[in-house]
Amino acid sequence: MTKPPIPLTQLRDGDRAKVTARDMCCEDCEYLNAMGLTDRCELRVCRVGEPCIVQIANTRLGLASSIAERILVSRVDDSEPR
Amino acid sequence: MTSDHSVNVAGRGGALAPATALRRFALLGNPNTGKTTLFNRLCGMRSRTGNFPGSTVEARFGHYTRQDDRFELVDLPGLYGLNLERPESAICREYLSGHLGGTPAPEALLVIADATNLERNLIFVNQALQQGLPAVVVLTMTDTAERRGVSTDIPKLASRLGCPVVGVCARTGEGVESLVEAMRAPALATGALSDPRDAQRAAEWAGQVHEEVAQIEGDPGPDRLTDRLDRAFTHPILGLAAFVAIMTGLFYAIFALASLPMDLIELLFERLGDLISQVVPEGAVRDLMVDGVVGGIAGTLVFLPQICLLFFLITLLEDTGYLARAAFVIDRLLRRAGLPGQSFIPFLSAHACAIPAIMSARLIPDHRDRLATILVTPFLSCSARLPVYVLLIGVLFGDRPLMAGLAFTGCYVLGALAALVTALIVRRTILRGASRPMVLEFPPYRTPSLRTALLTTWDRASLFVRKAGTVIVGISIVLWWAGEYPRVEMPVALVEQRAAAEARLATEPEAAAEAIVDVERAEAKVRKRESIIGRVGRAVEPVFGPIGADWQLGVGVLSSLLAREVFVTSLNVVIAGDADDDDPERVRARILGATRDDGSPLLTTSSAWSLLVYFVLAMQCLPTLAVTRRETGSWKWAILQFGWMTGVAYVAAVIVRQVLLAAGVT
Repeated sequence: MTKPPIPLTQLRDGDRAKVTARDMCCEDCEYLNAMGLTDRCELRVCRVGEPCIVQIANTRLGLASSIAERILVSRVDDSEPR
Repeated sequence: MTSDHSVNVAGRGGALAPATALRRFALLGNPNTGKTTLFNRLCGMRSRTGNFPGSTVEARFGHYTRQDDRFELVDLPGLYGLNLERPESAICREYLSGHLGGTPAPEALLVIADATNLERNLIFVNQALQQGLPAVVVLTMTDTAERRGVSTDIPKLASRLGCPVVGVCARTGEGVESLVEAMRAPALATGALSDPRDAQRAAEWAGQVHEEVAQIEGDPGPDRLTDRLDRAFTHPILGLAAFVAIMTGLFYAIFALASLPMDLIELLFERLGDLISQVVPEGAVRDLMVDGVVGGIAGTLVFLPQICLLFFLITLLEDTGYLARAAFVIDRLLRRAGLPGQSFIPFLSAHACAIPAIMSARLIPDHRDRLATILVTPFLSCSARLPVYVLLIGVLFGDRPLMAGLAFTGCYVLGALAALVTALIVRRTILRGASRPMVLEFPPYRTPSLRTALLTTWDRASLFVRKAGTVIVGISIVLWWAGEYPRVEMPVALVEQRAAAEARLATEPEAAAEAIVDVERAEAKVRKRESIIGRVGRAVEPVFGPIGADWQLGVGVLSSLLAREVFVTSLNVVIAGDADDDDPERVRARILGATRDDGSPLLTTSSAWSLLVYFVLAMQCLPTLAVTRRETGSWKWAILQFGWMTGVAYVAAVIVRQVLLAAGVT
């Protein structure tokens, strides 16, 4: 069951989540898309803080917290299939 | 597509059957896919780095030759997308479409995809295959994928994409023969691809294809070891401690290991100068060759060991995956000065030489961030400043090694502080705005490749010698000429002194020889005084007065615009008329005993301190200015850099001297 969207920075280490929206300019969105962080992609939080480290499939990204707080996600329960 | 070969197009559903072999391939792919490792495997040392016309975007150009196969390869920068609004993406689009004037377009593509991260890479493969060029898709890191239990049905992928696909391990060379065979017949992709402009659909397409062709044994679960290492290396305290320890080790290795080869290079060119002096008759031509050309080349090449070691170690560190994490650690500090974390690579390199440091600022994606980094990089104490520091700190604390050590450290800290404060000012005025927040891919941790590090070092060193060497040799010849000409008649007293000494050669050869050496030193001093630089030094003496320098020290400062270490040699000549005797103790003793025209000591405590501060902060390197101009595309930034640094250095030196004089320290 997915929960209401929250900023990525409010998750904890180990949480899984699905990207629902990104509050940033088109250029930044396109760059994140190209790196694999697309809308509706599923990610795992490796580290919250500065930087925020997330894993999408086999891609690991370090995000400045000012970027991470503008990515809205819905937490995914661990019981849900990947 | 431009080509000087005829090509038969079989049409959709068929591969090309070339009448003649295609030759020019561009290597395209995401960063960290092993593209450069593959390029190195194919080309080895038969490559060079160059810029695309009118830009600072670099590419590597090489060729593969074996029996009947001859391919030209262009290793383009790693890209996350061809459609992004970034300079490197724009340049690559123009290059691929043949719209980059002066650079022939590729005839085919090698599209590189990381087999361990295929789904993400397929997004880029989709874009690349729609550029209208025949292609071969290359899956790299197949060995790593196999270890992780990831396998790819390559024939199925080739059928899905409609073009050849080859799996290789660039590190070991496995699969390269098959790749070369495929390169004889690349094909226009005829598979069902996705519209690259729709990111969502393209990501779904990549997911679909990945599901069809990839098999993963079991569920390895999250990589806990990498998680723990990442948390440690990016921790605000632990990460910073690791960073300081690693950088200290790196610096120690560079300075410790480079000193012997640097001494050997100096000795080699000294011998070369002696050889030329024996072969070429005395005169202007010999002086030009020995002091101008050989001296200029030696002045460049002496830094090569440090530059080679620096790039070798940085490449190794980068290959381990650590540097991306370190960029975030140092980003916390640099961001307060308006700089991004990526600036730390140029700042690191600047401690060897500012020239390759400024060139490495190209990796910074944001234009204003890059400019700010370039402008402040020369503040960091480079190797060329060391002889000046040694001389002046030796004058101040010759017998107190602890104080001398602290003074040395203080010089490095002062330079770094000046860089950060200047960056802060620049980002609040002419390059207004906050530094762009970082988003970096963290590559997996792995054992670095020695081969890659050696080839990168060779490439970077060649680039430095080619670019900087030509500039430095040119400037050194000009400054040598300005320090030697115009030639004037020697004063009558010196002429008589020489005649008297030569007359005693037959009867008192040893005493006469010593007297002749003294005369030659005096003549060299006269020549320096009456040269263009000497006259300028005397003319601007009032300007250097407030920092405690007379015309002799002023000549040293002006001469060291070529290269900072020339200050010591120049002072040697002006004071003692001897450029060859560079024994540090004798030079120091000579300078301590030297006097000004009015008989007062040449260097006092206050003037030594103010000169030291001046050299820490001043832009005393014309070749660096030339590189700034090239990297920024405008003389405006180079002039601003020179003016600001010289102004800051002068004001700081004046303040230091005046404070010391007010405190009774003369």
